[in-house]
Amino acid sequence: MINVSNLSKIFRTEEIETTALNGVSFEIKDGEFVAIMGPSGCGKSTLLNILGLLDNPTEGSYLFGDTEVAKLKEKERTKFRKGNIGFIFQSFNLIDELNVYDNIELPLRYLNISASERKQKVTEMMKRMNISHRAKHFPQQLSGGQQQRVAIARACVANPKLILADEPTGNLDSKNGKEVMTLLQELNREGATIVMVTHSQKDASMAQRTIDLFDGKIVSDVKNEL
Amino acid sequence: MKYLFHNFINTLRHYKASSLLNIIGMAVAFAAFYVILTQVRWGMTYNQGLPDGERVFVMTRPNPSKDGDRNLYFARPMAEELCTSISGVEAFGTITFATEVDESMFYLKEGDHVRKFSAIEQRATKSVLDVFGFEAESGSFDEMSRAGAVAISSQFAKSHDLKVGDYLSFNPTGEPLHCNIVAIWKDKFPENSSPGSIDLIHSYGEQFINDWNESSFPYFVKLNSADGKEAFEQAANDLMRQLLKDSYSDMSAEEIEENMAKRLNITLIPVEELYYSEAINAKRPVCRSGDKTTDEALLVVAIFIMLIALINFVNFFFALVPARVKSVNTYKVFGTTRAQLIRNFILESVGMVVLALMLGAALVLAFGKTSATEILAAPIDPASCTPILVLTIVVAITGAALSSMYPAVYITSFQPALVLKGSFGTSRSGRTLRNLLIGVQFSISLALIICAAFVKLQHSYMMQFDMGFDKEQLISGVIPGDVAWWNSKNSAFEDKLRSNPDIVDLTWADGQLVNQSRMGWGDTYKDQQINFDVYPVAYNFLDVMGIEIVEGRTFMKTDEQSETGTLIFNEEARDMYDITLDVKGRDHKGDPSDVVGICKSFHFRPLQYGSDAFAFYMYGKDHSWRPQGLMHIYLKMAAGADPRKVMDYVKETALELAPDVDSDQIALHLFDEELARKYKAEDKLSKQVTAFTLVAIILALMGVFGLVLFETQHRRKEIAVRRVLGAEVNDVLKMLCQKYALIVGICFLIAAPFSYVITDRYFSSFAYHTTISWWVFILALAVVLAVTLSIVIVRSWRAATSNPVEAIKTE
Repeated sequence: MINVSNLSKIFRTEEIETTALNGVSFEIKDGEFVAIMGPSGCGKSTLLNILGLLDNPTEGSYLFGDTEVAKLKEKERTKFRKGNIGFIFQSFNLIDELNVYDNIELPLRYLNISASERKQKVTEMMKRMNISHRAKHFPQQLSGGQQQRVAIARACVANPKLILADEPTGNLDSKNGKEVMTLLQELNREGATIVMVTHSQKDASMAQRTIDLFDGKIVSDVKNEL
Repeated sequence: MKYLFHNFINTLRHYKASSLLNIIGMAVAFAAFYVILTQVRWGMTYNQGLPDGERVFVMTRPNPSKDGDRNLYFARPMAEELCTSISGVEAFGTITFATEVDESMFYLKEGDHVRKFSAIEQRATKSVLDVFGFEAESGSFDEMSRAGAVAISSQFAKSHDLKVGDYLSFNPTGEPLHCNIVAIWKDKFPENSSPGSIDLIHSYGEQFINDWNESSFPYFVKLNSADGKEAFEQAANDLMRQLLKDSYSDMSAEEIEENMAKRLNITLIPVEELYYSEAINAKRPVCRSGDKTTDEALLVVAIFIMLIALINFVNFFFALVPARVKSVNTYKVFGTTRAQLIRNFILESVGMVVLALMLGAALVLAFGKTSATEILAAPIDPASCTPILVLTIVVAITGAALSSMYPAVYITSFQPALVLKGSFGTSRSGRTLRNLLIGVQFSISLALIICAAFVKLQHSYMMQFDMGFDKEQLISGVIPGDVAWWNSKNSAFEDKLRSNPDIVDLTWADGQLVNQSRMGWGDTYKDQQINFDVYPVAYNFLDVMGIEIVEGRTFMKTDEQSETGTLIFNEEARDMYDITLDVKGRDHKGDPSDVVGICKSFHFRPLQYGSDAFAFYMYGKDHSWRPQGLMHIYLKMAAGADPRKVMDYVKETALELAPDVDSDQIALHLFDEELARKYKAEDKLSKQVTAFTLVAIILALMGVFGLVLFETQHRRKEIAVRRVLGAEVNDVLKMLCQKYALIVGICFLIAAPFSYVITDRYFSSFAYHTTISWWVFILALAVVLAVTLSIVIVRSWRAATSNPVEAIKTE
């Protein structure tokens, strides 16, 4: 599903040049659950942004399915991202002004799906995430675990080919963190391809495969025994 | 204090753009507020500062042709009889103050040299000087009892180096000597007062003192006490009744009362109320007049502008909240109390206002030196408007301090722990309040745009209105008496003008055709009292002006030789008084005069005033009333003729015939320009409203800018999240635009009916006005929407197109 080869990302300012990724190559198959680990500043988030089409690599190739997306323009990236990629953030990034239902519905609105279909999908997803009773609540009225469940629902509601999770348990206590990881495993079992950045060895061990980054390079890429 | 000042300077340095915009916006608003209030105060305090002004009244009687209107004009013997017979009168006299700035030319011979200057001149009796408390600085008013004696203001004497004993002439040669300066009065009258508006008083002496037919004199009365008004009125009316009884012994008591009610019932109107008195100013105002509704409307505009500026102030404060909230909470963590922080913010606001006031003062001073001040009626220099200056400062500082309280409380209300972690949300009530504030600005702007558009449309309507005569290709102007007199004896002047192919035709009249006030005659016709405006003209006037005759005939050249004058009434006079051609009217001597025709209705007054009974008059053989002949010329130009060349030609021809004439006295202009002067007040109002509306709109849009700035800052994360979830740039812009479009739409629904009512009220002061068209409302909505959405798009573009990763990362 994903094939990156010799991917590099260099950030340039007037005074300094920083190499965030340096010739990274790997492949992720359909239905895989991959964890990316590494110390702070090793390039995990940069890699995730490139995989999520939020940023372009400086060099290298990125094949999403059969499509080369490394050189897409901003507008094309947005179009490609819609419906193909779902995002889960460490700090949830729910929109404070929208209630749970509206937050989950948001990606569907940008896909121009009809109102009745949107309603059906959102309702199903809320049931799936066990948050139907919170539909009218605003993010500030939810616990951290509930907020992350809403964020996962939002990431999955359009049934994307790829789910990217950036430290999904980083802001949660261990109980809620465990619940979220279990949820991600379930989604993976149901067929979702997931790439997760994490600092937690425990969370990484729940993925099928762990890629270790250090100074912008892959230092190990191993399958986990589940 | 030093710490506060340091903080204030730091704020200005850190938030340069928003601070600068905020200060400039407030400066413009304060300057506009100050300028408008100086204009409003001018009208509202007109004649208020006169010495013993509360005891000075003008004598009025009913205007028989229009219910509710008052007539100020009396025959001298009647008014003098009344005022001398009634006790409690300290002084009385007649004067007609300047109704507009009409200046007369004067000449002073000094050896071989003749100096000329113009003066705002009024004719008066000596006694009126006591009514208004004129004081002689040099010379004496004693000689003002003599016709031809002149008194001048001290300021005028200084600026033209005139002294008691100088003789002035109306003639460019400086001779003969017409008037003798006998006194110079002290300049103690406010500029916005009737006596303060004149340079020179020319004494009537005993002229018309026994003429019961010349009812042209407004009489001012100074009572011993302001409470004596009713007693005076009672005594005056008793005297009038007695006068009727004595004069018409066969008149019944009912007829006497009917005459009293219709024509003679005397009432006094305080001189302090003259400026706004609609009843007096409707026909022939006796002094400068103003419209109270207009001044009140301008006052509302001033308050609106201040309100918009203060709302902007709040909006700009809010715009900086996301940027400043972290540092505020860092102060909190290190021990600064919330009260201290709030106090600092309020003092910071006061500092901003002081800077804005200084800049505003500079703007007013700079504006005062430009020709743009022509749109103003009153001076704006701070020295003569100290109370307004103080009021502006107090309102600005108090307003800013109060309006900074809410954002100061808001920014200090967050939990430091949350904010420092990068999370703070806006409350629903806060958002509602900010939307409400911006809504007030939009509503005011929309209402102002709509009202300003209608004021402008009304002005265009008046200028383009079909007056009922042919005003195309028309030049109008005054030809000096010497030339006019010469022309009346010999047609060489006319012949020479007619020889120019650019001049198709020409005619003469006594004064301007379209005029608010003119000579009025009263007569008994078919056993009824009739009153009408009279306009003496040359025989071909109606032909040249294209005024249609609906009954009888127009004037003929042979009418110039008639023993009595000749009359042509308008349709209104015919309908009001049953004028028929078989019954004679009266001429200027009171002799029977032929009514030869009825002309079609046309507008002989500016459009603020309705139509009325009117007659064209030809003097016939006797010119004793106008020995110099008719001085106002109307010239019809050929199509494509250059008006400037035609005017030069007329001037040259006049100077050829009368080389001694001062060329400045030959005042020619296009008829449209003459008409435009009649709408000077409306033109000024239109320009003032447009200018101040523009200020209000710019300020309101600056407020929108501030709020969008806040929104895009505050919603940066939301915009980024939406972008990550698939929103395209257009989706983000649409989302932000939709919100503002909705606010503008709601505000339009509020502003439209409000503007309709204001416009309707404004139009009601015109006898003829344009319609309140729906497209003006839609245009105003479209303009505000277009400008607002442009600002939203420009301001939001950066947030919508920036890499969402950055926004999410920094949150």
